[in-house]
Amino acid sequence: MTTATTAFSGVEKHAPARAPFLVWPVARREFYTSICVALLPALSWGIVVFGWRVLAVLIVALAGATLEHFILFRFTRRGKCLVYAQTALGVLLLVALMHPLWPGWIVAVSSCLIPLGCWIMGGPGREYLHPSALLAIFLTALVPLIIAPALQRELPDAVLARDRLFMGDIRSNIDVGAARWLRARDLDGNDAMRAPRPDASTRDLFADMSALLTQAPMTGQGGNAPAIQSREFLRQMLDDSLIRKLPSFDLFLLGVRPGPVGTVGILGILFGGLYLAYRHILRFRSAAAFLVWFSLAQLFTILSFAALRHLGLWGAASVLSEFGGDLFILWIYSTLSSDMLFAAVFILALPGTEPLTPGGRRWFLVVAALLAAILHRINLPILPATTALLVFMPFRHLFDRLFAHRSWLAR
Amino acid sequence: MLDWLRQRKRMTGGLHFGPPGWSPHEIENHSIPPASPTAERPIPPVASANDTRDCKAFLELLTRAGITRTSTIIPSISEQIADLSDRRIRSLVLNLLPTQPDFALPAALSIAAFDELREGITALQNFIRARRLTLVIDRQDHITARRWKKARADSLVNFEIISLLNRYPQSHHTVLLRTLFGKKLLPSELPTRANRFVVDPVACWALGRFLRTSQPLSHRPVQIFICESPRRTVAPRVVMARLGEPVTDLLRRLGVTVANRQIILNGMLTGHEALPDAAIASDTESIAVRLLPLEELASPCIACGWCVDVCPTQLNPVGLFDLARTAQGKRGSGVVTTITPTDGESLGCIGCGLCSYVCPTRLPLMQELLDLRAQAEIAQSLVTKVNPGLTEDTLGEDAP
Repeated sequence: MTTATTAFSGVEKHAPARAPFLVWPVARREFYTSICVALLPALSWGIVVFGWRVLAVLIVALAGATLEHFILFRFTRRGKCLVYAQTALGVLLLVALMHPLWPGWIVAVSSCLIPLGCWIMGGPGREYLHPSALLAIFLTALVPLIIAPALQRELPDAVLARDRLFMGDIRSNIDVGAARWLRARDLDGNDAMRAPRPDASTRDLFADMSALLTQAPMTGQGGNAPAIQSREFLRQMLDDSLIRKLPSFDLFLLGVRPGPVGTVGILGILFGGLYLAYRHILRFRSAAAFLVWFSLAQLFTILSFAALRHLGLWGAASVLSEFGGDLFILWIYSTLSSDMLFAAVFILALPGTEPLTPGGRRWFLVVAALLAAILHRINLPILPATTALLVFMPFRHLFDRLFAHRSWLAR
Repeated sequence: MLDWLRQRKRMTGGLHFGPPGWSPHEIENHSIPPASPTAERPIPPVASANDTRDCKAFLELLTRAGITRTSTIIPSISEQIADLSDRRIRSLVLNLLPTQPDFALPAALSIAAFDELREGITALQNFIRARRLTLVIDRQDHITARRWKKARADSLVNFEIISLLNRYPQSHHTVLLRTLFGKKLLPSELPTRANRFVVDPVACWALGRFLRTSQPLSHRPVQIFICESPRRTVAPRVVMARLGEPVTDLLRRLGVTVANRQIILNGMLTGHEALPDAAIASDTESIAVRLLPLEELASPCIACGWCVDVCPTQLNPVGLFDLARTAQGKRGSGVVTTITPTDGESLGCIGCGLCSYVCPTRLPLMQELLDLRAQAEIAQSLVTKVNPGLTEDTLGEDAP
């Protein structure tokens, strides 16, 4: 806000200030602080369900980033443009997107890159990509490659036993499946139960279904439905997944499932989203549009193109009419088990992610959601929705230029 | 119901500040001298049966009454009448919406000077012969609504009342005509171009007062807001201020400290800081006095998009801001700039100040946009002089 340069009376030279003389009491610091606050419920649930280790990693990462932030702020000229709330938010985002079993040193070292990244780009408003989200994507892709040879197996996906919440050690785990939430005594004294991630389970199931239906003999009137054996086999596959491989729906909604730390607590994310929408930081329409487009695109990726071509229109309709209910539930599991909800709330809320104008925003969300759905369907070790938003983020000005509506006065 | 939905859809952007935090009880020092039986009361011109109007006579009446521009955002009656010629006006709109958040002049006038207001609007309607007489009232301004509804019930004036949720800057004539009638009107254009006539309550009151008492506009109601300290705010008041009186004299007369204070005229969002020799003008609607604020420095845009969301004319303020800064740089380096279609967008800026108000990085968006608009207007006038057939729609493409 511009103000008078000198006092009003008794001064020879006076430069009148220009309107507005009032400002909304939300500066950019509050902007980032609000997102930090909104992240807390989801992150807290992640700490509860994955244990104290996550909290320890968070504290170490935050301490490292804070130290580096203040060194840069104190001893460099460019460091004056840094905002601590943005650094803290970056660390919280990185921890929220990390796998609970990532080594702490990797996260701590990476978190030190966040203030450095902001410093190099020139502080808030000058970043073309969010350093923390970018780091999370790279680490999601790279850490398994670094860790797997050392462990001679992949990083296990696990959640703590229900009587070992927060205080249990997630590294002490045993493979029992995800159907029930067991106690430590049912896990032979281990603290955590290993279970496949719902998104991986559903992805495998959809691939198996597509393979089965691609080769299924067609019978019925005019050969327009899969043979009875194929349908029975399909039924067994669906039942097996829903009963054994996937957690029950209440546990799923509660957030008792493996996955990145901050993405499992659906209720926490929703609360955070409501808070951000209340503060006008998250545009409810943007988040809803992203979710809807992602979900619709997911719907079309359940069966492969080869399977659909083999089945034909009537064959696909008969499969849908017979297994539609189960497929609908699996679709919900698949949609909610990715980082889609997290990205729709927190990554979209980060300033600068989406274009400025409503027209540009609309098309940006469509293409980002489609890319996210494709990335989610193909088996890549990345965070699909976050990656999709970050891929298009540098081009947000282009979307504004191409699709922005003109003022209604000029139309 | 359908109209309500349509109006909601048409009002894009804007910000709802809620009802004013105060309601005026009276206008201080406001007195209506009884009309002298010997004094000759002015007779307002009326349109004849075949709808011909004597605009010259009405302008003369306005000159005698001393009524010029009485609002910062609503065009004056004389400007509109000069542009009237033989237009068939569809609606005469008495705009009783507050022009700034926390303003309450319509309510004050409805309490203290309702008869003058009614006489003024009746005289205008008799002259203009609009098909409809419309009163636009803030949905939360119950005092004003009650007075006018009672007048309608008593069949004193025949009009329709439209209650709108006053999302600032709803009262600006560009936004108001869009909301009520779906008309597109640039801020520099007069409502008469869309066959509408918009009048503000003070002008109406001044006209009615002149017709009743033959008194020209020598005093006008002004709202005074005083903030003694960040924690203590004195209750606002409406006073009659003499035109031409120095602002500082008026404030001293009211017992307000002016030393080391910032004095702001005409609202916190679109007003301007008073110079030491500033005087009460016919369009001085409010005076705010406060301690000098701490300076907040601007920082780079974080692309939150709030300015785009609140802009009532759907501009991209931060995009135009960048453009203005680029243009400034070019001018500084001696490059001659021409108006482009994007510059032309700035002609749609009504200067409401919402973009700067919400900006979390405190960028001077409105100031730059208004500068850009001024340049665009100059360029447009040059283009129109060179090629009079060129309209705003083609502006920029054929610009020299």
